[in-house]
Amino acid sequence: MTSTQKKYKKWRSGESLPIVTDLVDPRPRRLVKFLNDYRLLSATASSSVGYTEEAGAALAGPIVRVQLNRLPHKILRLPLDVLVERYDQGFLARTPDLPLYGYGEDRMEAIDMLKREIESLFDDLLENDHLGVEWLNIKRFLQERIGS
Amino acid sequence: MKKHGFSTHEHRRCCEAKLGIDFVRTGNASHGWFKKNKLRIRRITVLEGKHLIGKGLQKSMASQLGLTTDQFDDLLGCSLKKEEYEEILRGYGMM
Repeated sequence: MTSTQKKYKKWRSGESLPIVTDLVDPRPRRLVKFLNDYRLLSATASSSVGYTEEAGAALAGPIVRVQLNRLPHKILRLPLDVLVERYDQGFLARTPDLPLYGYGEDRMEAIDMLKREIESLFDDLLENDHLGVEWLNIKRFLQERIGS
Repeated sequence: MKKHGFSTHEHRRCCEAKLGIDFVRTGNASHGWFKKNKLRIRRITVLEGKHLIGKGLQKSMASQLGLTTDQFDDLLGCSLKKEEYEEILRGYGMM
């Protein structure tokens, strides 16, 4: 019998009142899952997901601010701010810097669509020179941010 | 009488027929450019499928075309013509 089990047995029998943390480790075994389930995650792994969430954003309200770190096939030199909010039956992801949106049944799906949209817009702008002033500015903005 | 709610299919068909936008599919959505004299003016993304589009999504699509939700409704409901749309863009300095 381990010392913790002994202490627990002692406590159950009413012999002593041990400190709670001695009895059971209060930390969840699957920390990331726990934080995700309870929407407490302050920063997701950018290498696997491609975006980071602002600390406490999930608890802040209906609009969550995240930062995009990479696109499906390209890397961002500077992160892009994205706002995700619940809309209708799904989630809408928008970036204040670009006239694009992503829509999905969950936040991740909406962000993924927005990432594809940004990449497809960037490719469109690179392929074409017949662009209005607004799009020339957006092209310059994206060229500064997107690496290969 | 104004129709309440348009499907993704109707949005796409209207953009193709009235504004001459050609769509290209990317994943679960399609995007296309509104052009004037080969110059790319506005870019719109329409989801694939035939489901109804809610207010939130419609607002995003309207702003992509440089319109308010009401103007976009008029465009879909056939009361706003291409020439009037171009006039609106000119008014905002987008053309």
